[in-house]
Amino acid sequence: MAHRAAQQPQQPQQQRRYDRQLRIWGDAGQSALRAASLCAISATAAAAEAIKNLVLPAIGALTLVDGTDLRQLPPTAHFFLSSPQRPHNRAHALVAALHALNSDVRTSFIPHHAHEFIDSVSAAYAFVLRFSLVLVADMPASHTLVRFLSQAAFRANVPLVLLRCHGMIGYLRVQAPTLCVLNARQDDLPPDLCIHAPFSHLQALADATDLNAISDTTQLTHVPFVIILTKALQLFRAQNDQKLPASPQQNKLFENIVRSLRPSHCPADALNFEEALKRSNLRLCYSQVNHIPPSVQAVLSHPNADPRTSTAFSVQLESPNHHHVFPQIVHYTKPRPAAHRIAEQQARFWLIAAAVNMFVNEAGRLPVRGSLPDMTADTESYLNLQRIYSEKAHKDAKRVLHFVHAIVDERGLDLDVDDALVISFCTNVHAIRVHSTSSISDELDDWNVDAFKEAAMLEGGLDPSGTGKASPYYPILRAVDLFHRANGRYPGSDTVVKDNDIALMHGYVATVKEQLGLQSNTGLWRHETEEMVRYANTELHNVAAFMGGIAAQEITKILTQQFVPLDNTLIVNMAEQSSITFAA
Amino acid sequence: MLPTSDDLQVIYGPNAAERVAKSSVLVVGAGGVGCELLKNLATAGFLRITVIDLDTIDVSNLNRQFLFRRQHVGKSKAIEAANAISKFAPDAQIRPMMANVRDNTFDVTFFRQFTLVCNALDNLEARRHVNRMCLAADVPLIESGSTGYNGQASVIAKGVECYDCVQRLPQKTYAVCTIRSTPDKPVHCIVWAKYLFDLLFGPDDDANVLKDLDLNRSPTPAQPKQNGEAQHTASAENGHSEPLDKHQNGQSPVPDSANGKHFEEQKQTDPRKRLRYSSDDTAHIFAERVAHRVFVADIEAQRAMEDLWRQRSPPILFDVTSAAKKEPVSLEKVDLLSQSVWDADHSAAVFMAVLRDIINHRVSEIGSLTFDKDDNHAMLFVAAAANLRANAYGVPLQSPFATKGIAGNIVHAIATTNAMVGGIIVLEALKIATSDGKIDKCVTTFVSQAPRGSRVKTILCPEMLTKPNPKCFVCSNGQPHVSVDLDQFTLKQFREYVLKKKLSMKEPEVYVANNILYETYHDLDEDDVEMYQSNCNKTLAKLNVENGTQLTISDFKQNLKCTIHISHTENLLLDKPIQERFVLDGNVPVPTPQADSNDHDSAEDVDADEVVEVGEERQIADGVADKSAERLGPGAREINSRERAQPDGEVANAHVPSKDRERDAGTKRPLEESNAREESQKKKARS
Repeated sequence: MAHRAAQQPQQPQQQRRYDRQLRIWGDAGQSALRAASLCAISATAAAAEAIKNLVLPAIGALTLVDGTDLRQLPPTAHFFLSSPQRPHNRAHALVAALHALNSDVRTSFIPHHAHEFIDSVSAAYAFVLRFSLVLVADMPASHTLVRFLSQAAFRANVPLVLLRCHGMIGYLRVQAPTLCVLNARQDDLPPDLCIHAPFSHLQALADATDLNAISDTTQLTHVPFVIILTKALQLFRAQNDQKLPASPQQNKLFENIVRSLRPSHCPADALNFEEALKRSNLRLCYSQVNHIPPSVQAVLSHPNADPRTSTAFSVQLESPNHHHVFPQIVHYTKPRPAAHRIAEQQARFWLIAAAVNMFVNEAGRLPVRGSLPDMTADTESYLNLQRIYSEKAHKDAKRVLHFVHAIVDERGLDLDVDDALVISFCTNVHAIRVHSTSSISDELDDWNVDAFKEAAMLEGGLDPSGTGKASPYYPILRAVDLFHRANGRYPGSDTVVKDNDIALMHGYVATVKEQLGLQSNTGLWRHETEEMVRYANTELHNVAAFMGGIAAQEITKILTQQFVPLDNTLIVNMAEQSSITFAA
Repeated sequence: MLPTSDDLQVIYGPNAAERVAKSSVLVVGAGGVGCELLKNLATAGFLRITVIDLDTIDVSNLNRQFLFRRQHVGKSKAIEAANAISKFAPDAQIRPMMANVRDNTFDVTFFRQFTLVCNALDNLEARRHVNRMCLAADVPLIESGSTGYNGQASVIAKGVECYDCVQRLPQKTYAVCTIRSTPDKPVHCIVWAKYLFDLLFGPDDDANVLKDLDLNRSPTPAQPKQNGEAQHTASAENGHSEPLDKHQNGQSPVPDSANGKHFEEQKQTDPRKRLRYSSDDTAHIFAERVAHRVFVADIEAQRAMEDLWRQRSPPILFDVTSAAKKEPVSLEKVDLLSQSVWDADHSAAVFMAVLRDIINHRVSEIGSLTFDKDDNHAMLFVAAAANLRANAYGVPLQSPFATKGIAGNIVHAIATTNAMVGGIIVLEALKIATSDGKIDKCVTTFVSQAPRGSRVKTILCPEMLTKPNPKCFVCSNGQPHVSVDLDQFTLKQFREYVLKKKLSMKEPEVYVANNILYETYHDLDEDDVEMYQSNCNKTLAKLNVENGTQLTISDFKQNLKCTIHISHTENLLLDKPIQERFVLDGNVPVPTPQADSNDHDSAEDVDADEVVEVGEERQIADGVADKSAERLGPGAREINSRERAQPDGEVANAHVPSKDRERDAGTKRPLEESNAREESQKKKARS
C-alpha cells in the first residue's frame, strides 16, 4: 500500500481531509467556516462536544472562556479532559485536547469566568465585536451575563447561541437580529423557467417552432414543454390584455389553450404535452409581485435591500464607548489577524440583494437560474434549451454584477464583492432567505406566549394527561431560572433539601403558568417539574453529545449561510426523544 | 456536575451503573458514527466493548472520525479507536477486531455473548447479515445511519420489525446500450470511464461492457426502437439493448471495415493488437493506441450505425493525442478536488499523461488494478476519460470533484449528524442495558437538517417500533416468490444472484422436496462435492425445478431457513444482464422497454434501460440513512420510496419517518445538482 501510495500523484491533504463536507457546503461554505472566529463561554461537556464538531471541519479560530479549576470539580468522565497531564484550567485543558484534533484551527483561551470581566452591556459589546459568533453554555438565561451578552450581541449583529443540558432535557436558543441565507437548499422548489416573462432567445425559439408544421410525430412528441407553454402563454396574453392568468377560471382557459396547441396528428398520449398541462399551473404558485416566491420577496422588500436607502452595505458599528480592559487572551496557537464578521458577509448579501432588486425593476423577473429540469425532449433540443438558459443566466448575472458596481460607485462603498459570489447568488436566487429572531433579553421580560402555546398545544404539552412531551420543559426552564436567581443554585442540586426544592419549583412553575394565562393550581406539568428537580443540573454525556451535535449544526448553518437555520428555540426531551421548536 | 455512576442512577434507577458496566456491547463499524458511539458508550459507563472494523484510516475520515489523527492514516480503524477509548477509560476492556463481520468466526455463539449489538455500518450486505445473526442469537440490535444532515437510529429484536422486513431498493443500473453507444448524462460517461479503466488495467474480464474495444471488434449494435413511439424523456431513452452474452460467445473478432480503413492511416497503431498493454509497447505507443481506438476509431464505428442517429446527433471525433499536446500537464499539479470544470483539451492532456504514468510507474500492477476512487491514477483517468466521452456526445463536462462524487458514490458526511446519531444510539443502549435487555421503551428516531413536520416542527422525530412484516422471510416465516426462466438459469446463478446477492445469504443450501440440490457441509465426501458441482452448472429445469416448485433454502451461517416459491417465465428480462434476469416478489414485467419508473410494482422492476451496475465498491463508513423502500410482497409498497446514497459507499437502506412528516429535500448531493434529478418522492402514509 505504502509503496503504491508513493507512486501515485499526490493530492492536497487539506482538500482530501475535508472532502466529505465540501460535498455538502462547497468551497464557499468552507471559506466562510475558515474565516469565522468562535467564542465559547463555559467549557461544559455539551460545549466541548459542540466545539469538537466545529474544530473537526476546521472553523477558523476558537477562543474558549472558562475560569473553572478542574481540581475543584468532582471527578467526571469528561472525554476530552481525561488526560492525566491536563492543565488545571478547564478552558486551557479543552483547548489543548481540541488542538490535537485539528491543528488547522487557531485556538486561544481566557482562563477566567466571563462574568468577572463582562460586567455591563458596553463591556459585552466591546467583547463580542471580536468574534463571528458567541456560544454560551450552561448558563441560566436570566443570568446577568446572558442579558449583557444578549443585548450587546443583538446590537453588534453577532449571532449568539445558548446551550443548556439538564439531565435528559436539552435547550438550544439562537439569537440573531438578521440571518441571511445564501442557499436554503430546499431542492423541492419548482424550477423557475421564466415562461411568464420569456427572454428573447426563449421567445425566438418558441416563435420558430410551428407545432402544426411538424409532420414527423416523433419530432412533435419531443418538443420540450417549455416551448409549448411559452407559445400558449403568448396566445393567452394576446387574448387577455397582455395579462397573465390570475384566477382559477383564467387558468382553466390557459389550460385549454395548451390543449388546443396539440396538433390533430399528434398521438394522444404525447408526454411532452402532458408535461405542459401538468406544469401549466406551476408558474401560478408564485402569486406575488413579479411572480417572485414569497420567501425571496421577503429579502428583496427588506429595507436593507433598498439600493438607495439601505444602511446595510457597510459594517457601521458604534465604537465601544468605554475602554474595557479584558483579561489577556492566551494564544495556544499563532493568533489570527482579525476576526471575520457575519456582518461583513451580510453587507455583501444585502448589496447583491439590492442589485437584484434593480434587476427585477428593469427586467420584471428574477435573474434566470440556468438549470433545467428533466423533460421529454430529444437530446438536441434539450441541449439547445439548456444552452440558451445557461447563456441567459450568465447574462443576467453580469447585469446584476453591473448593478452591484453601480451601487458601490454611487454610494461610495468600501466593499469588494467577488464575481463568483454574485454568480452563485443569482444561480440560487430562488433559495435566498432572511430570518430574524427576538433577543434573549427581551424574551426574559416579555416572551412570545402565543408562539409557545401554539407549539405546546400541537405537541399535546398543555394536556395534563400527556406524558413524554418536550414543550413543558420550556416554562419549567423559566421556573428553573427564577429559582436560580433567588437561590444562586439549580433546583435539586442540594440533595439534602430536594423535597423543599420541589415545593419551591411548583411555586415558580405556577408563576409561569399565570404568565401563560393557564390555571396555576392544576396538575399540569407537575410530573415534569419533579423530573427536572430530580435531574438537578446533571450533564449526561450522551445527551451532551447529542445537544453538542445540534448546536454545532446550527452554528455551521449560520456561518456558512446555507440551509434553513433554527427559529429560534429547541427543547429536547431525551427521555422520550421528543422535541419542539418555536419562535420564543 | 455529578460523577457518571450517580448520573445514571438519577435517570435509570438504582444499580443502573452496575448493570451498564456489566453489559457487553458489540460495535460493528468504527467510522463516523462508530467513533461517536464508542466515545459515548465509554462515557456512559459501558466497560466491555468489542469493536469490529475491516477498514483502515483515510485522510478523508479525519473531518469527523475524531478518534483518529493524521499519524494514524493507513492503520486499522478498530485498533486505533480501541486505543483512543482505552486511554480515556483505562478500566474498560475494549477488544478491537480488524475483520469483516461476515467472517465465519463471528457465528451465532459469538453474537450470543453480547448484551446488545450496535451497527454503525455503511453497507446493506453487512447490515442484513448482522440483523440475521442478532435475531438468531436473540440479542437486541441498534441499527443506525447518517448521510449529510440526516440520520437515524432504531432498535431491532424479536417481535418488532427487523432490517429485512423492509425491502431495500436495488442499486441504480444502466442499459448496456446507453453506456456503450448513447450516453446522454454525465453519469453514463463516468460509468463508461470506470469500465474502460478496468478494461485496460484490471483482470481480463469477458463480462466488461467494453470488451469489444479491447479485441477491436465492432461495438455492440445497439438497436433503437423502430416504431415512432415516444421515448419518454431525454435522459431515459430506449431501454433496448442486446444482451452481452450474445457477443461474448463465439463471434470472431473481425475488425470492421470502418475501423480497418482508419487504422491504415494510423501507422503507429496496430489494428490487430489488443487495446491492453503488452510488454512490447512503450508508454507512448500504448497511450496513443488507447486514445485513437477509443476516441476516434470507436466513435467512427458508432457513427456508422446510422439507426442510432436518426433522432439524435452522432458523436464527434476528437483527436486526443494532438489536443493533449496543446498544453501538457504535470500530473502532480493536477488538482483532483478542483470544483472547476476541465475542458476537453485539458482532459486530453490529463488522459495521455495518466496513461503514460501508469505504464511508467505501475506496470507490475497492470492486470490487477480495479477502479478505486482513492487511487489517484484511477481517479485522474476516469475524470479525464469521462469528460472526453462527454465531449464526444455533447454531454456537459464535469469538474473532477463532481466526477469523483459520482464515480465513487461519495456521499457527504459530517461530524454534527454523527454526533447526534451517536448520542441517540447510546440512549437506546442505556434503555436496553438497564432493563435486562428489554426493548419496550425503545423507539426509532430520525434527525433532520431543518425543522420538519406539518404540525410540530422539530428536528428530532421519534417513532414507535413497528410490528414485523408478516411476509419477511427472515423473522416471520415469509415465503419469497421468485420468477425466473428455468431453462436458462443454472443452480449456480440462482445461488449467486438470487440467494447471495439479492437476499444477502452467506452459504445457502438448496433442497427440493427430499432431494438435496446443494449442500455446504465441510466434511462432504468427494462424490457429493462432485455432484453438487455438476448440479451447479445445470439449469434449474434440468434439476426438475418447475413452475410452482417450492425450494427449501437453509443457511446455517445465518441460522436461516425459508421456502421459496418458483415460477417459470420464458425469456424473462432478456434485456438485462444475466445477474438480473429474475423477479423477486413482484409482478413479472410485461416485455416492453418502456417501463415507466412511476409504476414499479416491485423493487426489481427498475427502468428497463438501467442495466449496468454502478457502485461496485463498498466501503466502511458512517452508516446509512434514509431511504427506503418497499415492503416485501406484491403491491405492498407502503412507505416512501426514494433512492439514497450511503455515506462513502453504496445505496443506503433505512426507512424514512412516516405519518405526516414531510421529507426534507435538502439532503441531495448539493454539488451535483445536475445529477440529482431524482424523481420527487412518492409519498404514501403508512396508515
